[in-house]
Amino acid sequence: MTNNTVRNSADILVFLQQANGRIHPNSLELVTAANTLAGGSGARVFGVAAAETASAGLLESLRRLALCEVDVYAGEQYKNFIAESFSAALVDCAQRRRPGTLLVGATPEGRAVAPIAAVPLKTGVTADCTALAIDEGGLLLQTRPAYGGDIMATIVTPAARPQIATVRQGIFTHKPSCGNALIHIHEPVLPKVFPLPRVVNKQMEDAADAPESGIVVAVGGGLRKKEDLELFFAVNRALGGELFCSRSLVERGWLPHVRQIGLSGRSVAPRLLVAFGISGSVQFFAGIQGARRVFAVNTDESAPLMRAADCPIVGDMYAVADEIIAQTTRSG
Amino acid sequence: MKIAVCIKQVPAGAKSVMDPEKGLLARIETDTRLNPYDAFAIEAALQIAEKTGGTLTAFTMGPPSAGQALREALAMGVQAGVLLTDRAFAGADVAATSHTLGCAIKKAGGFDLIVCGQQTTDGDTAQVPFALGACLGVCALGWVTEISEVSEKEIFLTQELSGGSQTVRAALPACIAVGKGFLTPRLPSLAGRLAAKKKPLTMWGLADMADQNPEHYGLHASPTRVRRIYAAKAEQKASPIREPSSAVAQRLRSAAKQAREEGRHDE
Repeated sequence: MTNNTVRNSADILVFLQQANGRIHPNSLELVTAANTLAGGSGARVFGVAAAETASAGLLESLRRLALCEVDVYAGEQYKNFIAESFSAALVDCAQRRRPGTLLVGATPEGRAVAPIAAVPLKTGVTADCTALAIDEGGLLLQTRPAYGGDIMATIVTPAARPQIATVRQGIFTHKPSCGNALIHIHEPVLPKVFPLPRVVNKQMEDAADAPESGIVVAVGGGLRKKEDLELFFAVNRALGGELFCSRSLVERGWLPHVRQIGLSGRSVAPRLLVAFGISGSVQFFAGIQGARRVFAVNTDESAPLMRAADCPIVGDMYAVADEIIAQTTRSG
Repeated sequence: MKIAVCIKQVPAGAKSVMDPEKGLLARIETDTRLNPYDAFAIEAALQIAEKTGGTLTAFTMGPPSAGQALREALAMGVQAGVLLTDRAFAGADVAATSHTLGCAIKKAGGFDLIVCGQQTTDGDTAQVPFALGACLGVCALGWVTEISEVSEKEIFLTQELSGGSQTVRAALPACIAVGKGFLTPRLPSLAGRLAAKKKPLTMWGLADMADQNPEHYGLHASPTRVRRIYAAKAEQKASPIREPSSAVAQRLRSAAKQAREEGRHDE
């Protein structure tokens, strides 16, 4: 199946997704994860990025990452996201570096780039991993939820290389580093597909980024009407977090998809998660695996999230919310 | 214009049967249904076929019973169905599935547009449409939330990406993967169901393919293997707390204060 000559390389390549010179948090987390996996084994960790211009700012942020070397493909074709362009750069880099493992963030972009790159590389991809480890034989153990999260499956890629995994955001914590990576700038690689699609319009939304405070307030099906979101946005401000929700509120059309936590939404890894009126579907759990402490407020103490929470609080989310606002107002 | 739609029969229940020894999905004793995402793919493909006067063929791979998914597609208005079924195709991962679908699509004479559901509810990888595009050497456009214009030569569509969306203009042939929600799949009418019985349903096995090497299909050709499967478990972690709202509010405010302080300490 594989035409790679170096079969047992332990080197790890990380795909670094960037926009406007800023590296995606999911990619930063994977740099940390790759270094953890490499451990003291002597395996090297490389990075690869593609950008419209190799700006000084981008190169400086890449250089500081905990990576041995970074390949940067620069050219106009990387201005917008066209999966085939980025896959071609990734394939080129993987063929130069011959890593044993390739890690890609499970963003919509990464989930498109990885399977396209896997075809010419003649290897497989394990999608949406929520845990990674190396077994005694050096194989990458790629664990992911399947069947809506009822089942966890550990997947291996026994022979083909690289072993490619896309990894959900928020599973690993990024540790800021002060590396001194060697940067190589490359000409763009033309993909085989021609002509490439052209982006005619971009609409950037409210990014709902991981909060710097490390606090996430999440609201779920217990919310009675859309207008009540105001109260919970106020609670979120009082606690100093970022507001997210479970799928039910997105389905009701009350909040945009970018604010959805879960298997079909995004993962969060806050220091503190405060969940109001969320029962906790298996899909929701898939999105909070990286949360350090979970507080849940719910009238139903048998709800799955109440059983899994570090601090399950039986109570009315509205009464608690009103009280938080009242106390915050009093204390100024 | 020739349009293909790729669909899959998936387990219907919340519980699915896995063979813990082989780590493969056992399809026995399980109700099945058309993958919910595929109803949206079929609807999108039907609307495009209606607009352009194109023909629409549905492809699926699976055991003989997966023909049910094709019957459903035919009842919705798809003109022909191709069922890829052979023991040699079994146990396929994303790479092998995409290769087999790609071979069948080429054998059927190639298509201007291939429409897929973004993902299935069983494997849930969302990868087949991208790998299929790569196998066919056409561009793959995923996370589609709107198709605004389509002609015999090109398609305008909107994709949802990190932090926003983009509208692209792509030349055909192309492979697209649609999400749920921007279309309402039609329900098959009684007349549609009756008409479906007369529509052609083709079965292709290994012997029908241009490449008849069994090692290029199914489990043999799958770079990934399931090593272990286990149930995601949920046990009671801590005893529930019952306090007046004022005490709960204090508890949450102090937890938030602590988290903010830890955050400063980490940096």
